[in-house]
Amino acid sequence: MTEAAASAPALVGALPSEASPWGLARRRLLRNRLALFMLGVFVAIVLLSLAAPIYAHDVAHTDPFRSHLDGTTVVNGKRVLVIPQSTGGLGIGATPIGPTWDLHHYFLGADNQGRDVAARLLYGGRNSLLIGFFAALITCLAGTLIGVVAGFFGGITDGVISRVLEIVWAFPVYLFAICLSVILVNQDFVFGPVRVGSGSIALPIMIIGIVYIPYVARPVRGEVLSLRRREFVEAAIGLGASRTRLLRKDVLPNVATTVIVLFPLVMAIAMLTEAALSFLSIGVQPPDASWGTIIQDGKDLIRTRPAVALAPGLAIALTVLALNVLGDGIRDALDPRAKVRGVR
Amino acid sequence: MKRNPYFKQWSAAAQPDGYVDQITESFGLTDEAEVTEIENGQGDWMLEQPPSDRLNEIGTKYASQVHISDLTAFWYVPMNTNLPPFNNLKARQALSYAVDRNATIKIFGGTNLATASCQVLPKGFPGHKDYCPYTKNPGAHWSAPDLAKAKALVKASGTAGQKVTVVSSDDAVNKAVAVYLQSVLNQLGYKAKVKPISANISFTYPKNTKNKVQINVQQWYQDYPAASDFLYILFGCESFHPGSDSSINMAGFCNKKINAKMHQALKVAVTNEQRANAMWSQIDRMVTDQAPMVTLFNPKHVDFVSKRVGNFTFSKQFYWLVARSWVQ
Repeated sequence: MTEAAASAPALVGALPSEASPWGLARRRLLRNRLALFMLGVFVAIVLLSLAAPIYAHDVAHTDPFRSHLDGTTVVNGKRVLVIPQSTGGLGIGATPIGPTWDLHHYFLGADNQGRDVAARLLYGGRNSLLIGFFAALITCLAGTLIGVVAGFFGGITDGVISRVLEIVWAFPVYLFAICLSVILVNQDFVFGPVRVGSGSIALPIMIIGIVYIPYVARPVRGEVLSLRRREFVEAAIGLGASRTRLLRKDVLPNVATTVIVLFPLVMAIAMLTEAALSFLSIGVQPPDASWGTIIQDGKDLIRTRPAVALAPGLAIALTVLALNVLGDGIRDALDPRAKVRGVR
Repeated sequence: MKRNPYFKQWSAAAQPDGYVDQITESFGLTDEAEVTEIENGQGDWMLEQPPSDRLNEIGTKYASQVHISDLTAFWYVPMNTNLPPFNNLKARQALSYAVDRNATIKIFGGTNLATASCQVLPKGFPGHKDYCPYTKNPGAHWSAPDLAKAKALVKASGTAGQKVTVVSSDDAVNKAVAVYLQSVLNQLGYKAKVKPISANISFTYPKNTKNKVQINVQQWYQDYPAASDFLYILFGCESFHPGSDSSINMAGFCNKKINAKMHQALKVAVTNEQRANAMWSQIDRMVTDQAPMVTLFNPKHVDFVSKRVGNFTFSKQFYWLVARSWVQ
């Protein structure tokens, strides 16, 4: 062995596990403090929302889905009406109580039905997050499937799928979602043996999941088209690899990183769309709460009780920000152009 | 509209002289914007009622510019007597017992703007005699809901668990009343949901039986000062036209005995108004007992005018008599 050979680094054989692509990505993500902080914020929002029944039942002692127009609560040790009638001037108008900053008694005040806004905010978070998550899941799964099929098989298959995607893409997303919602929110959706009730949150999940499919399918299709021309795929084809093997071993793992990056971003967009549909009364139906419905409730109290609309608005903004920053962090972590460091 | 300079008043009774020389109507603003315009002196009056979140503001800071007038009108909830569950008398009466009229009055703007009611004819209307069976202590006036009795009636009706859709206009007050009714229906054991629809169709949509509206939130204001304008128009058999947008009898209520009595009262009214009014009082009770609707309250009318408007005059028939006011 020459001296040069003896001092050359041992690069042959398996890389240490920390240097595998996923391990590297994990390390890069862990170094991104902003992304981690936002992940923490997002997890905190999820946990708070999951704790909604505990808060409503055991802390606030309220039913946030029932009207309490003649209800009372305790503020500064005194029992007061939740919606007191005006006593000044002509004595007209009845304004719900504002934030008491007491976790046990209408922390963020009451809405126009006398319901606890804080409890509804947490329950609303459950629905909004649930709809955002599952809608994004539908979008990413369906979009991946459609994009992979279009990009992998090409030819007529790609042509037909691409034209359908373009037709769907041509519709403004919100208009498309509103049209579907208006039709489906008033009657049960029946598709063969499947029946979805008109008040079910499965409907907005389905609608939002469908309208955003092109947003995932097209980049995935582009990724697959690019992969088809890569040397390792051509080599695998040359070695006689079946289509299933190609898809499973070469295409899907490479496409997965794109979809993983897109998921939090699609979830953020889905939550915004759900809030818009619910604000228009064609998303989540009363008495169920979502951040959009609570903003709708607060719209008519914006001058007197702005907290009713501001609280869910801030919640949406914070969640969407957290998801966007997290999505950026995941994208940076999965960037394949980053070099392997510290191989000894 | 401009004053006709060539018009000569030939009879003060037939055409009293107006004060204004010009009336300009503009459209397109929201009710919130209209209130702000009047506060700023950019407008003199608004057709819509002030939104509920501005009532306290105008009632305190602009009290001298607010006129509250009694109305011969009522807010009510017609229940479709031809569709389940409200084709069952006990189910209809149950809801009438369960609704807290004070809660709906609170949504509307408080007790200084509305009075709870159980019956069809508004207070002060020809034929009105105080009557309220749907309350904790049945008698002349409503006092409190009776949820226990309501639940017992639902149980006896066998309609618990049925789906109910409450239709209402999508403005703030109507929708809030609908959401409240949904809460009450859910408490009674129904599976209720709310369907807000555009104010442009909220009067015609529930009238057409093809839309299968079970229950909706409505208002009725006098067209003329006679009991038939409420009882016969809203609950007479001849007012029910299946499949038509003009079927004002939204409850689809047609009781032959009561209808015959209405016809009798209409005939008697031609020659003997007092006797006819006594008959209409009876009919009011009979219709109320059959509960084709839940009467919520009799509203008052709020007129918010600018500082410069003087001599504000209100008529229960024509509302603000524009030409009788002046501006300075």
